[in-house]
Amino acid sequence: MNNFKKIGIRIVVVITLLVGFNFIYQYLFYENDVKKEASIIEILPEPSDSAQILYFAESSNFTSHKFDVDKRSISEIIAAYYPAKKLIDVDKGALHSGIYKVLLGNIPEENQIETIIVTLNLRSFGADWIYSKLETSLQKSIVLIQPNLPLLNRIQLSFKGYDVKTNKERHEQVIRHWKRDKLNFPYDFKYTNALDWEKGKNNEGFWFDNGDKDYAKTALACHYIKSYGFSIDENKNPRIKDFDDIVAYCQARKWNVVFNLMAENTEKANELVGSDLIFLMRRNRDFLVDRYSKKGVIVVDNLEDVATQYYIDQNWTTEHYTEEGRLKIAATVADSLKLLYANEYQQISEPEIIQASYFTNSCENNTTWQNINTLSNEQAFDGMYSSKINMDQPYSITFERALKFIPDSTKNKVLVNFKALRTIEHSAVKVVLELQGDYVQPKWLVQNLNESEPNCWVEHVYQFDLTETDLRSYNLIKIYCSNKLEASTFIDSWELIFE
Amino acid sequence: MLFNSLQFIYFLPIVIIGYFLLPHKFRWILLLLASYYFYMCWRADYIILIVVSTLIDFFAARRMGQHTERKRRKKYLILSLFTNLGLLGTFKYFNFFTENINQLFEYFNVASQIPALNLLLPVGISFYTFQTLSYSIDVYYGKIKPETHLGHFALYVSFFPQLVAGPIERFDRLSPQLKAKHNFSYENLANGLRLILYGLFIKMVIADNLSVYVDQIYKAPEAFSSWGLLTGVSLYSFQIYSDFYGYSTIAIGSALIMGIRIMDNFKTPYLARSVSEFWERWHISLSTWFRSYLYFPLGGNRVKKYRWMINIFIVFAVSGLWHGANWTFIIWGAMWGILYLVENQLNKLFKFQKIAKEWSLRHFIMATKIFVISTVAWIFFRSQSFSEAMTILKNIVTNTNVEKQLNVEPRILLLLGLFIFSDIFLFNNRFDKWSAKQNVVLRWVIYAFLLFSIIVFSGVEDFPFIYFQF
Repeated sequence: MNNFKKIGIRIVVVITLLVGFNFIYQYLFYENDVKKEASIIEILPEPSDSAQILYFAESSNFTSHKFDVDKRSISEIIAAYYPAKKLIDVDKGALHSGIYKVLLGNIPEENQIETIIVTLNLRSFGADWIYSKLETSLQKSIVLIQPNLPLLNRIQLSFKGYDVKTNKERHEQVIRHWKRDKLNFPYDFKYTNALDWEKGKNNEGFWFDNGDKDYAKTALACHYIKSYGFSIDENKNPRIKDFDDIVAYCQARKWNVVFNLMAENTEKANELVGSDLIFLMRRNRDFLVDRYSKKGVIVVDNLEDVATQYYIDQNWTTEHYTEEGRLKIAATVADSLKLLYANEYQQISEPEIIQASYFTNSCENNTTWQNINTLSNEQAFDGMYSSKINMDQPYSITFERALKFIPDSTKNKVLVNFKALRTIEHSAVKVVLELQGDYVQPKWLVQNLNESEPNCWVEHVYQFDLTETDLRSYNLIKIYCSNKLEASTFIDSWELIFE
Repeated sequence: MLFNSLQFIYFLPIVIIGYFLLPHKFRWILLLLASYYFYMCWRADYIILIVVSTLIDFFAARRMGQHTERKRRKKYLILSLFTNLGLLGTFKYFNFFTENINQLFEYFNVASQIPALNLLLPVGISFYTFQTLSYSIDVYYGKIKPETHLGHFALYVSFFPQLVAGPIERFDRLSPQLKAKHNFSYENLANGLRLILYGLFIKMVIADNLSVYVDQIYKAPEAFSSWGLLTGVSLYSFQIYSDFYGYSTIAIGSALIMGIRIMDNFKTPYLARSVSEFWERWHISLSTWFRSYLYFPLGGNRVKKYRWMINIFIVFAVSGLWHGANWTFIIWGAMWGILYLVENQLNKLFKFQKIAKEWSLRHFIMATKIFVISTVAWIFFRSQSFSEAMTILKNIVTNTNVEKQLNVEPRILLLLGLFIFSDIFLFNNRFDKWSAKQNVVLRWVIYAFLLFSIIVFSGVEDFPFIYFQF
């Protein structure tokens, strides 16, 4: 009995100490720790931002293609449909429902929020993402912002009270799930799990005409199986619980909830794997739409809304869209939001995709070309400036345009006209037309600058024939002059005509 | 399961309460199940290796016990050695040896290559195989009688506090304690908790915080100044010490609550005055294992001088290899072997007084020497390759003009200073014994400080105990 008394007293002392520690920690260390170890919280808007709509997303929101003219994120485009409402994005790469849930819990009581939009990413329900190697650091980043006493959160962080696994352990976890989780087709199917299916696809493979195996295409097909070859188990899939919690939490705080089911490259999936994979994707989609619609959530179904060419990563499975894809998804979400904000909706004009065939640049006011740092007032054919090129800055101001903004009917040849002044008799200036694409080497068409008298402005005209180039492989065209000699050459008064 | 995890915080009290609530005859079952669960939390399927090792050693020892002839006993000893070293060889050394053989093939333009095995190294395999080996060898030499109860033997092999990182216990020390009836003792509980608290402090607050800085210099040694590198390599000396010492202390404390006394594994090694004393104070259970089961069988010091020198060198090199399948570990071990021999010869040649008087100036000079030597040796131990170690050493000399320093947070330096102070203060003493003698106020101030530091100042990166990989 004496021992019990001793132990009891000490337990009381320890509890008292812990209560005291909590105060000390909260006032002296917590804020600093959150800044250092839970910086993810910084993606939440400040209370002073007074947003009415929050858009929670991963990289699908902000990733753009390098040739996009409209670089706006999906959330920015949605916001344009509702100028009277303040919409703020809460996004970061690789986020998922488990993280959104914790972030939502950190929104202060005082706020103006009316609606929460959350991306419902189908791929995030698969083992490949759930047990991704990024998960350990993501889980760690939310420990300190859990809705507990600060000291309790710090104990969790110190004693690794979150899902800690090495990359190798994560990989084993993924393999285990691919093996164990049944595909559950309602019809006879050769394979019962994703791993066997992937192995079968790998053995079957894709082949070139010369009999060689197309390893890249085969690997991509296998990756599609691993990314989408699953059936969501509503009892075991952790994402379901997270989304359920999000719905319950938002409803408790009287916020409208919109789930934005992101588009996946179903065309590619069909081409590489076939209708069985599409069946699973659609069944999972139907399950999610049905489940959350019944819970009072507005579910925006974008699954098959984006055409294959509008996916940035053609060699991987991501939800990264070109501007056309982002515009399409934003338009669908904005349309669904009419259910909540019918009066605030404003039709925005289709983005102005100006297709043009004629371009000029007098090196004066047109700063839309690249390399404007070469503009110099030492010489000018007309106006004040011309583009000065020499070994220090060898590339002149550069015309750069996505090929999609040049009409197909005028993509046969380009006439390039400009004025040049060389400072020595024999210069080595070249006129360059460069084509760039995502998955091909750049192509250069080069012509030498014609001989001319030094120190006087001379007009030059060149023609580039594009009929023998397969322009479908390229996304971007550039036209410029280059000079790698010490002696400078000046270029002015550009005129480009696509015919 | 890690000692510095929430899981262990729940697990240990449950086991301890269950242990004292259960009648004595069932306690071994609880401890065995708890130990297997403890191991399986890391990876369930690898428990089979412990079970195989346990079964074979149990039956081999039983067979040895049935025969008096050495010859007949020998084949069972070979079976035990083959099993344990086979497991170790397959999981830990196979790829190292094949890699070297393949390089040799390449050198002689032999086309064939031995494929590598894609196996995860089982946590603690070097510890539990050495523990069971010591049992088989002791039975073979007739030093101990074979265990007749499979469950008790299985518990000796897998007793959770020291299963994955030691101390490597001998059967005749640990097994009787596991079988004995221990009544609950408040003193054991208090001392055990004191050790756990201190162990967690040095692992989580010292080792884990230092590892962040050490990793920086080992990732990009060329980027740091000589002084920055010297700081980093010195910090590693404290990191590895506090990491392993912390683990051992928690292990000893956890067992002590149940009345089981595990041997001390560290005794302030950086205050050693000679190489030989360092090895009497560092990883004591391994040093004594090698002494009993390798050094003595090789002839110990009862052989000619050159043979003795070879014996010493072999023992240290093998001890290096025990730590990991990499030449850097072998070099690390061999370095210590050479240093041991050089020190021995110098002592004889110049008739040095072997041990300086405690706390004398000479003691501190000698201890500084040992710290510097071990810090250089640790560079090989920590590096992934010989060339990486040489790059660090070279950059320490050449990077005098590099500006980048290793900026250690003052808070970490202060905590490290406190640890060094406490370690010096506890020279030839132990935290639980020392603190038990202090007055209640001082004692609780220390507990409060340790507890607060563990919670608030712990390193937050995920660093498992370094010795888990061995």
